[in-house]
Amino acid sequence: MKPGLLDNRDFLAGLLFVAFGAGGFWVALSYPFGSVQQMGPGFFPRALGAILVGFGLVTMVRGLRSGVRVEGAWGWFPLAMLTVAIVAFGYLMEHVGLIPSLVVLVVASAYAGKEFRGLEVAILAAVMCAMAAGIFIWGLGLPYPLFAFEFGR
Amino acid sequence: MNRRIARAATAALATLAFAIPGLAFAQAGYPDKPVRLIVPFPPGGGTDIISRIVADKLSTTLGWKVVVENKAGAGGTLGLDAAAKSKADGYTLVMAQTSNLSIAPSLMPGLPYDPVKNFTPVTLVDAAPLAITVGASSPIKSMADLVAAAKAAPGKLLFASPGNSTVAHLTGEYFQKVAGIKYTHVPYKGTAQALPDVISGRASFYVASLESAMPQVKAGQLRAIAVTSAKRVAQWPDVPTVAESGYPGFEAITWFGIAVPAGTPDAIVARLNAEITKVLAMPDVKERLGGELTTGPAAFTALIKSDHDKWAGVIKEAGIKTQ
Amino acid sequence: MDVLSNLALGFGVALTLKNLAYCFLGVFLGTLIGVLPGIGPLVTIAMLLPITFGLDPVSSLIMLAGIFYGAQYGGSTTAILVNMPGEVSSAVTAIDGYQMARQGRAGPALATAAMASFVGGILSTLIVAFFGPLVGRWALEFGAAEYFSLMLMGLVFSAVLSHGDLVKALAMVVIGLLLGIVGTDVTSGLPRFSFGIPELLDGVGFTVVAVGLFAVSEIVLNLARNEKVEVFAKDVKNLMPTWADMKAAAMPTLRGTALGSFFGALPGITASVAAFSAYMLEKKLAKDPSRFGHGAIEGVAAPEAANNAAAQTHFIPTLTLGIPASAVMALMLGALTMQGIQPGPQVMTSKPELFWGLVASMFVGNVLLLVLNLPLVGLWARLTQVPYRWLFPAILVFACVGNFSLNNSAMDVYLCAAIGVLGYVFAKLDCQPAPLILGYVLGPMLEENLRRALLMSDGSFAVFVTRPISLAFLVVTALILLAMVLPGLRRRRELAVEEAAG
Repeated sequence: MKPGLLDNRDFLAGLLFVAFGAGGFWVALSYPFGSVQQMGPGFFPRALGAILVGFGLVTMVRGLRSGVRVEGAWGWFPLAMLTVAIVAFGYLMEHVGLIPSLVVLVVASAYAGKEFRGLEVAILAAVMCAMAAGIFIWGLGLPYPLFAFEFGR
Repeated sequence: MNRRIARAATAALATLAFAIPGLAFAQAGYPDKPVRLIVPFPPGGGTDIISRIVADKLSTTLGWKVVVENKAGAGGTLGLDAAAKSKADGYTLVMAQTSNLSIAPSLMPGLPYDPVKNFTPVTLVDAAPLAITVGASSPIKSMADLVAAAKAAPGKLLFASPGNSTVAHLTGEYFQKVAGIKYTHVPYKGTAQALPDVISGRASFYVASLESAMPQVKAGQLRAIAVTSAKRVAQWPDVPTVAESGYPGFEAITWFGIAVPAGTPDAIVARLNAEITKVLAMPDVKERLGGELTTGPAAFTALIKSDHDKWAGVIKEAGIKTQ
Repeated sequence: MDVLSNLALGFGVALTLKNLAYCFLGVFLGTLIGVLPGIGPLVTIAMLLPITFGLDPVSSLIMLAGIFYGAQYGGSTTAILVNMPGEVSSAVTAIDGYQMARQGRAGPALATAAMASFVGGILSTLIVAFFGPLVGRWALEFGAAEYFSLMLMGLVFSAVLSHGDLVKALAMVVIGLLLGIVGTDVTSGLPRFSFGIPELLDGVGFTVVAVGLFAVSEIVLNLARNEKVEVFAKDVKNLMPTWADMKAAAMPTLRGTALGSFFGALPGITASVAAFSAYMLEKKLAKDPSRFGHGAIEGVAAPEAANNAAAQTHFIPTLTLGIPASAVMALMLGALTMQGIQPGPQVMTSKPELFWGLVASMFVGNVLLLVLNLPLVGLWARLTQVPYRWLFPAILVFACVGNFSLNNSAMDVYLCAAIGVLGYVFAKLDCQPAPLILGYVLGPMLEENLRRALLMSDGSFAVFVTRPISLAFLVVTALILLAMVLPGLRRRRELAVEEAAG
């Protein structure tokens, strides 16, 4: 049986290509195109955008024909959790210093995994903090405070 | 006579009164924590090297802890912006230069900082002219040759620069305007690919910092036909200036200087100025930087303004696109 | 022979106890920072620069150079173990190296990487010693037209990177090309695809792309598996490569060395281009290309030999012409200048002990690296036996701090998270990341050189065929295209004949 559109691997890939290509093309419309002899900054992105749309359409059609399913289930939860962990780390680094940022990163990312054991994660966070402080701050002399509470900056 | 003494005394008193709050602050043991020096470029560039020399000397001779923090991006404006938004307590310095303080306002309408209002200049650290060079086998031997060649074939000479909107690029545009000639600008991304093209003659001439062209000139691969400072430079006594090649008043230099966020206590600015000036006068530092000039905050401010006006005019006339 | 007596002089300098110590310090530091993503030789050398003022020029140059090529060794370690390229040029090694690690062959993969790097390093140092000045002069012949034709060849060749669907692989290359466009356009100075975010004016950093696409998406893939499968094979078979492995890796190592030496000598070309080319060549030559991407040892040996060879020949334009071939090399020149030595072609004659001392130290350094790295293989390989629930947060910590340290800015971390999401979606839809990385690396160079060539020729396309080196690349490109298209045509004709007959 053929999969539905939202489960069709190549159809989705093609759709993604078309979206990227069209988006790139559209944004590049505001850059001067120039001519083939004197290419402007808009020439390459528009050409690439158009080519990508073409590849995308081919991939979509092929997907409809072959009907290969996406393999395995989508891991939305770990994906979202890890993304949140990484983004939080970046934000916190600029405001509260290295140690709190690392703790949040380790705990939040560990939560994305299947087995979350409180004690283990606490030890892991402590070890990572010590390692990171040792390597990056003491060893490499990177200018990050361990703790800093500067939300106003 | 008495009046003069009285006046001097009043002035001294006034200065003292003005300085006391600052002095008290300074005596409270500035700096009592690490001072960060923001470098708006990645490690390894010219700005970074100069900054690390100064930071290193301040740390080793005074026992201060000066930490270099590279905050690169958007042509250096990100680092300047970070400095402008920092606390004006003397613990944040920034290594600013021509492009960020004098050129960026004319190129970037949305610049998040005001070079004059948001910063207090501390001191210039280094200034260098640019060199105009050609490949060793080029028929062009002087600025007069260059102008003649450009007039013979308008738009055909290829002017190589290390990047769009750099001081080198603007200097080339500036000369075009001054000499009333026309050539084609070929921007490169730094020197790696520009130098082979100039050495082999694929590009007609090259405008770049003295330092970046020096090795090739010494080795006889490039020929320097002019420098852009008002006076000849010590390293190349026989290379004429553009000004003496028939364009009096022509001057273009790149400079680096340390600034602090506006509102930093005057006493700290004065202290920084004094200490950095001392560092710059050390023989081994002098040898590494070309540095003959060290200036007070006032002269630095004047330079920022005069260069701003000069480059704003060039950018407008050359029709260089603003971002 | 003259070179031999010069080398003798060089070894006399490099083998003094002091310089041996600095060489060891350099390669040791280099290996360490090579393991960390984002933290590269550039940052390390910049931070060490003030310290080197106190050293004599030869010692400081030997140490700094050691950091640079040592980092190429270290970069492959995390690429193989956890799919996180520690250095730009090891992104390619991650493709097959990581698969080997998952099959329990982390030891042989690491050992092969070390040995291939060693061979690449030693042979290319010989090239530096014997042909340095010659190669340097030849590199001057490369202008915009030559670079464009070379990049085009690489791009056409990239089709072999795909395992599976060709159209999807090409689409990924195009996405990479678009990603490479982000930032300020070199030719016009106009910002593109920066969406008003100032951090994007300099483009998206390589580490950001590589870590997001490889490391982050891999972690999500592993965590999202329904059945509880260990990521790595439980039994680590052997630590050292077998005789068969060595035989399989020998020729790829030599070919990788040749390609790496060539690319390294060109100013402005990064070691990652060399590594990619070597990988693509091996896949094209292989009897069974389908093994690539599933743990082919050639896919580790060739790029590792190439990137280390490139690291050595990178010194050719720098030392013989005084042209810094990359930011790291510019830094080395800066270090020399501050020592009061004017870099340039005259250094070889005026300061022979400096030039030949450095060359000799590269031999010494490569030997030290091998001695340092081979015993570590066992230790590293054991890392794959650490439970994954401990390993992956640790990987993330290094990935995040590394990305943050690029510009000391959170924006790179955010971008990495976004690219991680994209990487995961691509992986689920069976779109390979390697072609994307290649497009991202080649794209900016391709466009910049095409437009510069046309600007300099006043819009005439003739430059690409009238310049012999450029023409040669274009001819090879055409042949590759023909070779790819012909079998397809023949098959179609055979089909048509069959249909007609049937």
